[in-house]
Amino acid sequence: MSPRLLEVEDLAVHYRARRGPVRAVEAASFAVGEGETVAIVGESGSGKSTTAYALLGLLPKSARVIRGRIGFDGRDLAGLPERRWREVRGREIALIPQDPGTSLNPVQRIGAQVAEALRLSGGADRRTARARTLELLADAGLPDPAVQARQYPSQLSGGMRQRALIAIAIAARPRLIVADEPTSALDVTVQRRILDHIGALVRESGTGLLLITHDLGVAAERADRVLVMRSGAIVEQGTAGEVLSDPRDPYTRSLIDAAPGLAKTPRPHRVRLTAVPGGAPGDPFAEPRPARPPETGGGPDVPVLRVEELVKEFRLPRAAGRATAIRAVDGVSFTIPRGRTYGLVGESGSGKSTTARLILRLADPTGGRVLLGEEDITGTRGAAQRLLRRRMQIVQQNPFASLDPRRSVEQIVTDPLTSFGLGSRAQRRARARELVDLVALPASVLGRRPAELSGGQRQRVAIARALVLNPELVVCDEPVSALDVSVQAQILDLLAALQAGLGVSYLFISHDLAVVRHIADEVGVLHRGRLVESGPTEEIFAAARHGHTRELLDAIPGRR
Amino acid sequence: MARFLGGRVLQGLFVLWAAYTLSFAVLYALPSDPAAIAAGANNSVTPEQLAQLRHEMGLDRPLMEQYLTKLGGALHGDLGRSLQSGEPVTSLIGRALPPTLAVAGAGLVLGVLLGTGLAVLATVTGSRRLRRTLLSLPPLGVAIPAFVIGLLLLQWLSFTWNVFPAIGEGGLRGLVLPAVTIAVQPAALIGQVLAKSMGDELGKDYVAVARAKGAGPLRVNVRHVLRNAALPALTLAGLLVGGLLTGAIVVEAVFSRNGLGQVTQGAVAAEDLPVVQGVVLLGALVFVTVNLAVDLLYQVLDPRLAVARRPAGRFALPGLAGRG
Repeated sequence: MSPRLLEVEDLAVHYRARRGPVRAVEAASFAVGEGETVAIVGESGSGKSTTAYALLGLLPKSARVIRGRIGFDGRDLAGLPERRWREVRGREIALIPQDPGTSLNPVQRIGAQVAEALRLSGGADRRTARARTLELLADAGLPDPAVQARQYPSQLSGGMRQRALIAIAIAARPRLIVADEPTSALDVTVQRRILDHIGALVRESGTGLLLITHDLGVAAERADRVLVMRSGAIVEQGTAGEVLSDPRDPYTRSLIDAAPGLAKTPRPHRVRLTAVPGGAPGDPFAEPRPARPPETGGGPDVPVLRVEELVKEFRLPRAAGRATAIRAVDGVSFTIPRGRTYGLVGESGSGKSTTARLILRLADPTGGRVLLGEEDITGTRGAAQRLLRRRMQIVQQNPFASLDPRRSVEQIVTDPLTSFGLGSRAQRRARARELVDLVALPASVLGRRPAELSGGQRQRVAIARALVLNPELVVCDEPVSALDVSVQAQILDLLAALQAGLGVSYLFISHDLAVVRHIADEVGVLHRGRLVESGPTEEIFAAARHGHTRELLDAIPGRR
Repeated sequence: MARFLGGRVLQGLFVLWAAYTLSFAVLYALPSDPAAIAAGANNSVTPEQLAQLRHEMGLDRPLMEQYLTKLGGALHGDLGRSLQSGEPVTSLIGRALPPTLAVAGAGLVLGVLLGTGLAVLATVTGSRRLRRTLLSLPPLGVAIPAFVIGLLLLQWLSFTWNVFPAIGEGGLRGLVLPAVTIAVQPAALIGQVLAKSMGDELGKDYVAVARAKGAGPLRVNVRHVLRNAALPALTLAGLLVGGLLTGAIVVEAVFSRNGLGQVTQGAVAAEDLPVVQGVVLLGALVFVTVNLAVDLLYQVLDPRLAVARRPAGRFALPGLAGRG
């Protein structure tokens, strides 16, 4: 191993809490060599981020380093007073944070924020700061540094913001960079470019890199060595090859199974429903579904959804010499057979969420038709449109934002029933119990509020809410991209099992082909509003025809 | 930008017109006779003379006509004459305004400075005790009425120690106690709101990034947190300006100062309607102007607001920006 830069020995970090200390990190020991890339892999709550922030002396006030040594370049950083930490941060150890959307000061220009990092570390004075800032922005891979330096964070895309944060991190030529989930808020294609770029920068400069991630696929592909962390302890460490091919800890095994990109074939789904509740589409308390539901006017051979030549244009504010509208959705057509899943894949801005909004009748299309069963719902308004909600529901991306924090789980799940005045209070209560059981949550969550649940549990609540009306179609808009990979796998299994048991159809939207592969029967690839490729999932994976699809496939971590 | 400004000015003019109309409606619905007030407490006025006076003042014409005539006058800067002294309302207010503006302005500046200082100090300090002590001050400042604070200041600083003059104008030195008195409530409110939003901002990710650059607590708080936390406090400061005029009435009474407060008090007591209406109009004008200034300041403080208004940005489109 190269000479050791960072040597953490027996580190323990505890949080003060009302019910006694929370042991976030216990007895963690690891090292990072000069110019080495080490990845710490684990789920939320495993202590990986706490470890990262301890290395920067940026732990929250409620946290304390109880024991251990943070050896850095011959010194012990544990217990360093705040004043001395300031000489280490930025200059010696730098941070690339998790969420580029919130990690830049929204009211300061990008250039000023990079220049501040330079000035604080003594890397430049007032005269040289400007030129160095532009150099750094260029090094971080921003296309037009002079322009971006004058822009505010809200004017840049997520990937560009993360590049600005990289420029800040490398400003003082630190010897170690701690990257805390640097790409988990980004599209897979952007993730790949950003990780490539960070890799190239640390290789050139001989900087050590500690990469914190929940995705074993990312870790294995990028790191020299991989540490697996669970419940505050390091349960496995070794080279990427060793950890992947010969995991000693069963937890590592389960992480390998969960990483969507590491599987060579789709994983078999492991969840089965025990009991399937009855009811008719749109009303769980009605008589069980007749053979040919008259309401939908179609048997099993009529697809649940047909989208024909859908177009959506957004008018731009008037500006001289520019197009006055952009086409967010441009002639999209596809069909979802009853009880099947259609995966819609594309990058941010490709038009996939707009397509979902058009289908759900949350926005009006500029052109084209949407057919639910045999009924054309393109022009529905008012009461008719509201009734559509009984047949189509949505599961949104961020379960932390999509549940009302002040209501109990029972109120959240029964909300659609209450809105449509379905069932008695007792019936609704029973239905909530049934649904919570269906999504594999204990009945005890019914009285709790969202804040008391984990991300995975919240997403299960959102699924229960979507299914409570017995809808024919559920639109899942990036339902797992805010979750850890291991939780992602559980949610995908659950969705598949619910489909097998209830016969519900899904429109599954994701930026990640690897995720879509595990759930979708057919896949459509959106690129700049156009459906550039469409077909059975395995065909797309075996022989993608369009260049953009291949790019998305290549971006899946762990496939190289 | 010009379009935005034009829109806001039109809105402001509407507010002024509404204030004028509403005050006209309310004041002239009162069961008082302006002519009798103008004639004074002089009982020797005969009913004929009174009728003559009413005719001269136009009070015998239909209400709508009176309103339009007066509104026309107001548009030309003529707000009528005081019923008591016969002096034009504009010159009466113009004379009373400078001392009040001095007190209210000094009070506002002092209040903003004290409130900001309190919030920054409470956020920056490493001492828990100091923070707690500082944060317990705002409720106290809001709870104690301004006149009590004024009287206490007078008692100690004027009568006991004789540091500042107790009454009258007395230049800058005479301004200190009234300004402090009037500043206490705005300082308390601004301090409270600002400390709260600074505390919220401190938990944001960009603060961790600033600290990771090696920035110290003072730099983090002043350079990064303060500006982001300033918007709610700024909104509040704009609203407080209205309260300052009310505060001036109390302070002018306590410190025996001449000014708008005294004029207002006298006019209300004597039912001197044109003067009262002039004061209402002035209040509306101040309010409109200050809030326009606040709106413009918003855009200086938060460039996102200005960016969102700029045309042709692809990031200005809701639903397309933000993600990724």
